[in-house]
Amino acid sequence: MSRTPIISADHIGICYRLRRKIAGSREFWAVRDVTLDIFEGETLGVLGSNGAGKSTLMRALAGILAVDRGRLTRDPRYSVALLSLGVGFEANLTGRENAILSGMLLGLHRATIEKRLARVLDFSELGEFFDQPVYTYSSGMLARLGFSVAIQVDPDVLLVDEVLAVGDAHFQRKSAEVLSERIKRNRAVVLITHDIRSIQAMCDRAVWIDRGVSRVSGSVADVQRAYEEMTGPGPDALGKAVVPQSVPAAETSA
Amino acid sequence: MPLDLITDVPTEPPGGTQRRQGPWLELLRYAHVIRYQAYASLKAEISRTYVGVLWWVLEPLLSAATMYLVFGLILAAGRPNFFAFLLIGTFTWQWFQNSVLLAATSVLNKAGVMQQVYLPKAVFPIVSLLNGTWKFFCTFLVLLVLLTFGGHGPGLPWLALPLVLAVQFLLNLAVGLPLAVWIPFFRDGTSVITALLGFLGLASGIFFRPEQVLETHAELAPFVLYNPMACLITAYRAILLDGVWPDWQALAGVSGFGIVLLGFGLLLIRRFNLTLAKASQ
Repeated sequence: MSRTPIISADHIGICYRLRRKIAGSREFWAVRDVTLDIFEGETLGVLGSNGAGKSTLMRALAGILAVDRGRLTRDPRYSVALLSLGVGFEANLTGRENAILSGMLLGLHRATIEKRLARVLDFSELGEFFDQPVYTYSSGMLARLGFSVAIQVDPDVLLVDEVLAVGDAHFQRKSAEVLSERIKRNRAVVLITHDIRSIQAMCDRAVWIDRGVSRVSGSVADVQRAYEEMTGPGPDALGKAVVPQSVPAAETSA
Repeated sequence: MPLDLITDVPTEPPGGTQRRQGPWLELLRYAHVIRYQAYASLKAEISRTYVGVLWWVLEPLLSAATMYLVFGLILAAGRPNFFAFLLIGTFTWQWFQNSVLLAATSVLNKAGVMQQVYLPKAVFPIVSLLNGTWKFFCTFLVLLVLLTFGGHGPGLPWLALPLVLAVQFLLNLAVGLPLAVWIPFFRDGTSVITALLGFLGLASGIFFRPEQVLETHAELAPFVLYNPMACLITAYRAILLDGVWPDWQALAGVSGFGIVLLGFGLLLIRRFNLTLAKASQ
């Protein structure tokens, strides 16, 4: 493992300027003081409850948002991307057209995504629905298409924000498998979640973010200990209380 | 997994202290995204209606019919060719007006996409402008057909039309781009733009020749003389109505203004590239 980080955040802060005042302030610091490094070959877990600023942080790491203070440096030789489902989907276009549209927005060249359409169709199991407008899709089908397109993009550093499993039980298993295979293979992965169990299962290192501040950073065990000391409930109790963001399993297999 | 997955190079998002590229160079890399986005948004729009693309011809025909009824028959302005004169002014002005309004809200409307992937923000106004331009080409064809039937058939000066259209496209883009950066920060701005466009539309001489204003209201001269859309509408009328070549000097002036403003807009959108995603939430 190289000791020069691919991405390095040094006391970064990200601020939203509100159009309407909240509690006398026109500024809201979603990320206040976060320091973390991402190294080649590792899977870093970012743990935090809802509203901790995880998603904002992740967008800054992906280069979508600018930081307002501190320093964020990224090694330009590495590509960084967020695993995003259904980017830019248009309800009136077919699954095939949306796959091309979304794949291109995710950074693939048109020729590349067109070559992989067979793979998208195969993985999504959409069958003849692939050439129907996506407004005819159930939410599960939409999630399956979104996931199948998203995994066609293979950046050096993959940022995953709680998209752990989508679709019905069968597809959830399948997507979780692909994702964990991808996590093992990518040069670096950042997994952002409020579920300590996912971090235990997949990460080498972890950072705990609390209300926009990185509190503890180190081994998964260290972070888990500190997190439990502060929040109380053990990992199992916590695990039952929160479910990874996914489409309800109401959708039956296509 | 096959190996080609690994060798694939996604378009790396710049940001933070990443390498900087000139705005043109970066946009060039995204040309294929712009092309497909423009195609997709047109197709999505067509499939939302029953007769789809037919509307692009029907709409200008209907508005021409309305104008004929009001200005050709009821008000009977008594000026020869007034109907043709009015059609040229109205249709080309509407292209400008629609382009500017669409471009102004284009970045704000794509807030969702901006939260998920990095894109140079100039992509959004360009896509919306291209979208409006295809529709305008249908309108323009309707105009040419109506003019031909009205006795103003094609002549040699028609060869200058592509140039005048290109200059107007440049102007539409140059005006739309800075507004696309402004609106996410000040959403009420759309009302301001609409009001300003209403005034500018009148000052651009949709209903009269700019010279007529100069004769009677000299104080309004700056709005007419230095109004790029007034110059363009005059150029269209020279070609289509009078059958003469347009005033090249005026066209060069509008182009120069457009290029400078476009350069400013590109720098501006570059400057706010990563702030716009936050402001548009």
